[in-house]
Amino acid sequence: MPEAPVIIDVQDVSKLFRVGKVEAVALQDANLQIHDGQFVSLIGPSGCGKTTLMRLVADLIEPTSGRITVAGKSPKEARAAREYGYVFQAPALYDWRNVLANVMLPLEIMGWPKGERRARAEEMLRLVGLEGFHRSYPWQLSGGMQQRVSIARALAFDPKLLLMDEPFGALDEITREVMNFELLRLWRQTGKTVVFVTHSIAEAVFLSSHIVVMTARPGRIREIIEVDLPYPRDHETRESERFFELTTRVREALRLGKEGEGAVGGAASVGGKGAGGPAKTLAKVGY
Amino acid sequence: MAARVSGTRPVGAVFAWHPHVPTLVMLCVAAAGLFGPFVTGGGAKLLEGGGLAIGCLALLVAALVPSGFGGPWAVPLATPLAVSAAFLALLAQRGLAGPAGWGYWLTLLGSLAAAATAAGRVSVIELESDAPRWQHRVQRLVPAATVAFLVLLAWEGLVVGSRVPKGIFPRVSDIWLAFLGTWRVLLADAYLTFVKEVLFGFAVGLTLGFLVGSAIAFSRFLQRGFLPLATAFGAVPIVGLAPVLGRALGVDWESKAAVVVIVTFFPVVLNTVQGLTLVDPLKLELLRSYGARPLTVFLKLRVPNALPYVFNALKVAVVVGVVSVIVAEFLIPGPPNGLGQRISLSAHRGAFDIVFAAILVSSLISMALYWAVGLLERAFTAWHPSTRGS
Repeated sequence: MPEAPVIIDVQDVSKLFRVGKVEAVALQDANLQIHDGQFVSLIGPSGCGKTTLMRLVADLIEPTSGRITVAGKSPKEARAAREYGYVFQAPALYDWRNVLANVMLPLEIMGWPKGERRARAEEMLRLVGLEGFHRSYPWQLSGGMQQRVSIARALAFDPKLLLMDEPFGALDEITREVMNFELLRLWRQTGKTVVFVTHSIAEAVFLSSHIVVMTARPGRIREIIEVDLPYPRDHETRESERFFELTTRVREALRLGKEGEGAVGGAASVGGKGAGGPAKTLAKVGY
Repeated sequence: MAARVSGTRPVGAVFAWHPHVPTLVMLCVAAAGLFGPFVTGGGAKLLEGGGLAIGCLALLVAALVPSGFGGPWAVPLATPLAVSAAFLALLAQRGLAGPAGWGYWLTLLGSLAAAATAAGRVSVIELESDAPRWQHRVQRLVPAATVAFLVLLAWEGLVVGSRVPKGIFPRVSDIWLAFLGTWRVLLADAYLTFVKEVLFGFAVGLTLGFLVGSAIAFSRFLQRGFLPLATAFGAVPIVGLAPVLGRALGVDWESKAAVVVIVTFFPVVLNTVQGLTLVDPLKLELLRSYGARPLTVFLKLRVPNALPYVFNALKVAVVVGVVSVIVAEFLIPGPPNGLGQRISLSAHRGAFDIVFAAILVSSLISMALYWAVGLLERAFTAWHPSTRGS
């Protein structure tokens, strides 16, 4: 099967933060390739650098060393070319704009013609199931609805990539499951590449085509697990034996990472789209 | 029926142990007063009472309208009618023939109690949520208006009863007459004070404050160099500078407008800086992820974020500005115009009725200004938690 092109290429990337005289290694020697159309989750304990990695890709911060390529460009160029939409941990909606105007915000900034902005924003709100709420203000919506608006906003300008930093972390379990279904539907409908940061093993297994397991202190990529559950996934997926095996695997990888055995910077590549077969570790140990 | 009159609590929970006691006490006081001597050693009792007696009777009727009588209309309408009738009757009364007797004081007390009881009955009416809007409005307005009236009634009654000369402390009716006699002059004064001095100074102070605040928000140097100075300057009693400004800018309206500019400028600068810089970092990063230019960030994020802060500064500045300009007119004696000058000159002449009339006019305009700023705030920051409820 032909491999989809690499859309995110992370090579030997490290990031140090300096707080006073103390230096903290947020990310060390990360290597990762994400291919077009994949749904990749970054999972790991707090401080493992998953958000840092995502922010490096988005050019919200700059790496201390190493090289990142996004859609064939440097992160800075990719940001200027609006290659990605970013969904933050909080919805970050503008309180003074109603739902429709919030979704139109990126289109205004990117200079879309007025009529098109409106049509496009209405289409996006239909996509996330918020047709009746154009005139509502953010504070009138529930947390789940606010996060839907922010997803609609991230998709509005049709970026190649969707970067999602724990978007459902603040939601209750029930809303979260609903949002997971919605996100999978959106992903399959739009064919975007999604990078998704999460703390939840079940969420990562349910959503992803590939899971990047990370370890803390220093932040490293430990292992990449391919999730071979077939799409579309539904409630039965969650109850299948394979789902159970995969969550156990992720859990074990996380636990091993915590014990710090053999976790030396990982050179890893996420397999091409549609690569089947049993879950396998594509790369575990570098150097 | 849209309104239901609950007759069990005429005044409030304090008297809930027996609902009719306050009404009875009030009745006894008023009745004793009406038949007692209004003037020490006077003759025909009820006739001497004049306006106060008529007012007292009107208020008693309003306070004693049976709850079930005339449907939901009677009590809410009787109260304002009686209150205005009593007020007009009392205003028409021109002094007492001699020193006030105990009948006078008891009637005054009874009137105040009757008015309070009537207003209390309006405020405990339980309206259905779908009652017409005027009923809700009456319920909100009548008690508040009655309390204001109680103050005026007590004022008028005390001054009349103790026979204080007009030159020391005027009656409410004196002030009203003074206003009727001088309103053209007072309005001309108000135009000078409020339009030329306050509004102009306000507009200049706001514009300058916002521009300087924006400059500070974007300059590390100004933030470190200017901001601490501006914060400290906020504590300076600027009105004290009024004579200096008068010398520098002339005794006409310009120097007084300058005082308003200064008292508006500093709070606006400080709040603008806060509003422009205390921005949710996620909202900033969002714009960064769109590759937005700094001007876009300023217009689409920082300015809307700053609006509630700036309006807070404006509400403070309106109040302080009016006080400052009146005091500045005291301190910079110039042409004899302006409300501050009017107050100062009239006080020197002992014309305290005009002093109060001028204070009345400036209070009303000042309230209107504050209200207008509040209205603008609600129009511009309806989304903000501080305004979204209303």
